[in-house]
Amino acid sequence: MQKIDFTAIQISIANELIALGKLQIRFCRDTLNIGVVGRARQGKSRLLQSLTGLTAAEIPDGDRQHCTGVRSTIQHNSRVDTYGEVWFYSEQSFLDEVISPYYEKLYLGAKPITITEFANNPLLPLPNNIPGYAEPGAMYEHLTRYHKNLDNYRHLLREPSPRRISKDEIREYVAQDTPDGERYFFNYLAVREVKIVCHFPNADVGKIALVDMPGLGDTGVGDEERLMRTLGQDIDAALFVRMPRSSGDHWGDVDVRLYDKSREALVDLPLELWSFMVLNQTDANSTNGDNSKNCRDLAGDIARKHINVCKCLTVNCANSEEANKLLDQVLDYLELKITDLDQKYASSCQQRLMQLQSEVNTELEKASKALGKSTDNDPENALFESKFKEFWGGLKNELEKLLKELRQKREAEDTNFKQQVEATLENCRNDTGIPTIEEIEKRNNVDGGYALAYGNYLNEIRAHLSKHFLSLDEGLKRSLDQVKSQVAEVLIEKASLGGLTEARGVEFIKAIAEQLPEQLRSGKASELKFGFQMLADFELSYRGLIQHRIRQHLDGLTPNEAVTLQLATPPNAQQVLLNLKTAHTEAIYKCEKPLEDLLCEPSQAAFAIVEEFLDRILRVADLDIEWRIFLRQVRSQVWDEFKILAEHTKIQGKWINAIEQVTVANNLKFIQFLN
Amino acid sequence: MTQEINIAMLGARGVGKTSLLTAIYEQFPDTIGKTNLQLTPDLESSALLQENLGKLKSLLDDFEAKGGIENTEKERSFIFDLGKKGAKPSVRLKFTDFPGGYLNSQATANNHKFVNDLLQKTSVVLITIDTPALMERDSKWHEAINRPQQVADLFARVYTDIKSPKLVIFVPVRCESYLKDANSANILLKNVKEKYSRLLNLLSSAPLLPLVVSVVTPVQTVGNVVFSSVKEIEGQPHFYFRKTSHDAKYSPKDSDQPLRYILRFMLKLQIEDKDRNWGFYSPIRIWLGWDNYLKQAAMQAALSCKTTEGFTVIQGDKWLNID
Repeated sequence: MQKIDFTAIQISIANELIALGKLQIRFCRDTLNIGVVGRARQGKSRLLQSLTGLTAAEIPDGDRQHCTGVRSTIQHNSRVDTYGEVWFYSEQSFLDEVISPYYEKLYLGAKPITITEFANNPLLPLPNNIPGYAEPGAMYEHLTRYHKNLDNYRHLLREPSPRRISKDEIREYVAQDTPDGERYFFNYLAVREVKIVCHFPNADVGKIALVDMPGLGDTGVGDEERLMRTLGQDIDAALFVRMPRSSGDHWGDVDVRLYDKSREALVDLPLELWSFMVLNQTDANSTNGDNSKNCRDLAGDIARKHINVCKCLTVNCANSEEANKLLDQVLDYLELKITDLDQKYASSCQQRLMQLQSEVNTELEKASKALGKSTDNDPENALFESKFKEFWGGLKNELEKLLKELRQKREAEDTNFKQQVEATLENCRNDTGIPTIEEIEKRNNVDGGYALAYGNYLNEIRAHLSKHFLSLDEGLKRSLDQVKSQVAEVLIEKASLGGLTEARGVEFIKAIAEQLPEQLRSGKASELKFGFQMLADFELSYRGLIQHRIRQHLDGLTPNEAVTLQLATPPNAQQVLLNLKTAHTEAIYKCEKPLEDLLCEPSQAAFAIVEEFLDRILRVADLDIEWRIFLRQVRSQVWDEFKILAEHTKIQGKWINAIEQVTVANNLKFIQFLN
Repeated sequence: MTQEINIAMLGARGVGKTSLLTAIYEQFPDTIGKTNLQLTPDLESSALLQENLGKLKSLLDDFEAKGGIENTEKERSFIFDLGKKGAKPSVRLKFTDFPGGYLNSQATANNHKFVNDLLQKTSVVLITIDTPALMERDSKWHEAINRPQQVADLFARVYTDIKSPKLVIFVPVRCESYLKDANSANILLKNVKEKYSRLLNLLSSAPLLPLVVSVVTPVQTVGNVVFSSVKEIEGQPHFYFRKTSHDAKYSPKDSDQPLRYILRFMLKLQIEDKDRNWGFYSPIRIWLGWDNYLKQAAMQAALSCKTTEGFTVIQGDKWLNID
C-alpha cells in the first residue's frame, strides 16, 4: 500500500492539464499570432508601427517614457476602420494578479483582501534586506504608482469588458500621457489587455495578429508571468527585437536571460523552431547612429551564445517596407512549418500522456493488489461457519435449559399472577361499592321500594366487582412478559443476538420477528419468522382465561337468580345492606377458588409457549438452514469480527470501485488524441 | 342397676360437639321420643345443654354471617338416661368429650392414657367432622382442623386387639350447605371416604373388618344456617355462616340419626347369642338383658336409620342387621 504513489501522478496530471489547455487554446485560435518580444528601447514599438500602420499615438514607443506593461494584440482586418477593445481587471483579479505578487515578492506583509483595504492603508516601506539589486526598487516604484493613483482608475475595475473604443481613444488606455506629454493617463493601470483591429499596410498577410509583449525581460512583477503565459498559449512565432548599440555591443546576460525565459514558456516545442531574432538596424540619422557593423557582429556571434532561432534577420524596423519583408519571411516560414510545429507540439504532449497512462496503470495494478479482491471471501466463510456452529449449539443448549426450568415450574403458582390476584381480591374487598343505610333509604324513595332498590344495587355492585377483575390482565401480561423476557435474555446474552436491535425484553422478540424476512428459503414462508411472531403475539387475557370461570360466581349478585338472597317481608334498609354485604362477600369468596385454581395457569402457558417456540425455531427440520441464511445476512450486527470485516469489505468495495473508475478513465482511447 | 353405654366423642376444638349433643337432646322428643321413650340429661349436663341451646339460638338472632360459638377446652361427659316415659331409665348414655389437644404432639402421657382408655372401654365412637373444613377449597383446611391423621393414628394405637364389636360413626356437622340435594350429599360422602381413607382402611383391615361397623350420619346441628365464606386472618381460617333467610329459626336436622344407629347396634348385640363370650371386661357384657320395652323401642328407632342422601353404612352391615 505504501508503495503506491499517486502524488507524483497527480502533479503530473495537473501539469498535463495545463499543457493540454495551452494546446487547446492554440488549436482553437482563428488567427496566426506573432509575438514581438524585446526589452525596452530596442525598437519593438517601432517595428509594430511599421507592420500595422499605426502611429506612436496608438503604439507608444519608449523614447520618452517607461513601459506600461499593457499587452496589446493588433489584428489585421482590411475591411474595418481602426478601433480598439479594452479588457479591464475586475477588482478581485486586479488584487490577485497585479497587486498580490508585489506584496509577496517585496515582503510587504498581509496582502489586501479588498480594494478598499488596498486604498485606505498606506504601503509599508520596502524592507532593506530583500535580495536582488535594482529590481526590488523598480518594482516598489510600480506598486507605488498603482497605490498612489488608485482613485484615477479604480472605477474602471467595475466596468464591463471589453469596452470598444475608437482609434483616438486608444492612447488613453495604453499610455501614461498624451504624445505631447501635456496630459497624464492612469487608465492603463486598470487594463488587462487591449486589442486593436486595423488595416495592415501589407494587405496580403491574411488572418494574422501581432502581439506586443512589453516588459518581458524588464522589471515588473505580474507582467513577466502573464507574458510568459501568453507566449506559451497565444504565440505561433516569436520575434525577438534587438537594437545593437552603434557605440559597440555584444550579447549580454540580459539577452540570454530573456531567451531562456522565453524557452520555458513552451517546453514542448523548442523555441528555435518558432522564433526569429530581429536585429534592428539604424542608420546614421537615427539617435543610435549607424549600427550596421554591430548588427553583423551580433548576427555572427548569436550561435555561440546559444540563442537559437530559426533565423537571425537584420531589418530597419523604422522602415515599413523592410519590416513587411521581414513579416513575409516569417509568414512564409510558418506556412511551411506550422503543421509540422503543431504536430511536434501535440505529439510531445501525447507521448507524455501515454507515459502517464502507463504509470497510472502500474500504480493501479499495485492498488488493486493491495486490498485484494472482494470475491475472495473464503476466510470469512470459515469464520462464519465456526461462529454459526458455536451459535447453534449454544442456542439449543441454552433454550433447552430455559425450557427445563419452565417445565419444573410448570405446576408452580406464578408469582406475578398470584400477586395480582391477591391485590385484585383485596381491592374487591375494600372497594365494594356497597351503599350506606342512608343511601339505601334515599334509593328506596327514588326507585320506589326496597325490592327495586335492592335489585338495582345488586346489578351495580356486580358490575363494580367484575370491573375489579379486569386488572388481572396486568398480572397475566406481566407473567408472560417475564417469560418472553427470559427468552430474549437467552437470545441476547447466550446467543449474542443483542446487536440486531436495541430493543430489549418483550420488545426484542417483537423486533426480531419484524426483522426476519418473510422468506429465507425462496418460495417457503419463514418458519423462524413464524416462531418469533407467534411468541411475540402470544398473550393471556382475563377475558379469554378467567372471565367465564368467575362470572358464574356472581349469580348471587344477580337479581332473580335462585341463589340470590331474598328480602324478608316487609323489607327494610338494614336487610338490603346485609344482603348486599353477604352476597358481595360470598361472591368474592367463591371467586377465590377458581382464581386459585388458575394460579399455575401462566406457568403452564409459559412452558407451553416456550416449548412451541423451540419447536418452531429449533426443532423443525432444516431450521438450521434458515438460521444460517438469516445470520449470514446480519453477521456484522451479531459478531464483532464481521463488523470489522464488513468495514473492510466496505472500504475494499469503495477502493475497488475507485480503481475501476480510474481504470476506465485511464483507457488509452480516451487519452490518444493523435492518430 | 342401670346399664351404661359409653360413647367417645372425637372432634376438633370448636367443631360443635356440644352443639351436636344439644341438637340430639333438643330434637329427641320429636323423633325417637315419639315411641314413648324419653332422654333425660343429668343435672350438670342439662345445665350445659340449656346454656348451649341459648347460644345456638342466639346465633340466629342476627342474619349477618359470623363464626360459631366459643368452644370448650376440657374433658367432660354428658350423661343421658334413656327409658320409657315415666319409668325408671333402663340405659344410661355417657358421651365423653376431651380437648383436641390430647391428640397433639404436645399432649402429656396422661392425656394419651385418658384417650386410649376412653377408646378401649367404649363400643361407640362419634367422629365429628367440621364439614366446611372438609369441603371448602379442596379440603385445604381439613388437615389442620379435623386432624384425620391423628384420629387414624389413635385408632391404630388402640384397636390392636379388639375382641368385641365397635361402632364408629362419622358425623359431619355444620353440613347444611352440602346437603342441598342428592348430588351434593354424594360429594360430601365421597369426601368423607376420601379424606378419612387412612382410618377407613385401618377399620377394614382383616383383623378389624369382622368387628367394626362404620357409618356416616351428617347432622345439621343448627339448621337454616349455611356456610358463607372463609377469611384467612394471619394464616388462620375463620369460617363464617349465615342464615338462609332473615326469618330462619333454629331447626337442627337428622340429629336423631347417630342415636338411632347406636340403638340399632346395641339391639343387634342383644339379639346375638347371649352366651357368646365377649370377655368378662367387654363393655358389651353389662348391656345384656335389655327389657322388652326397650328392645321394641330400639327396633322402632332403628327402622328410621337413613342410608341415602349422605347417610351410609361403610362396613359391618351384619352388626346392624336386626331382621
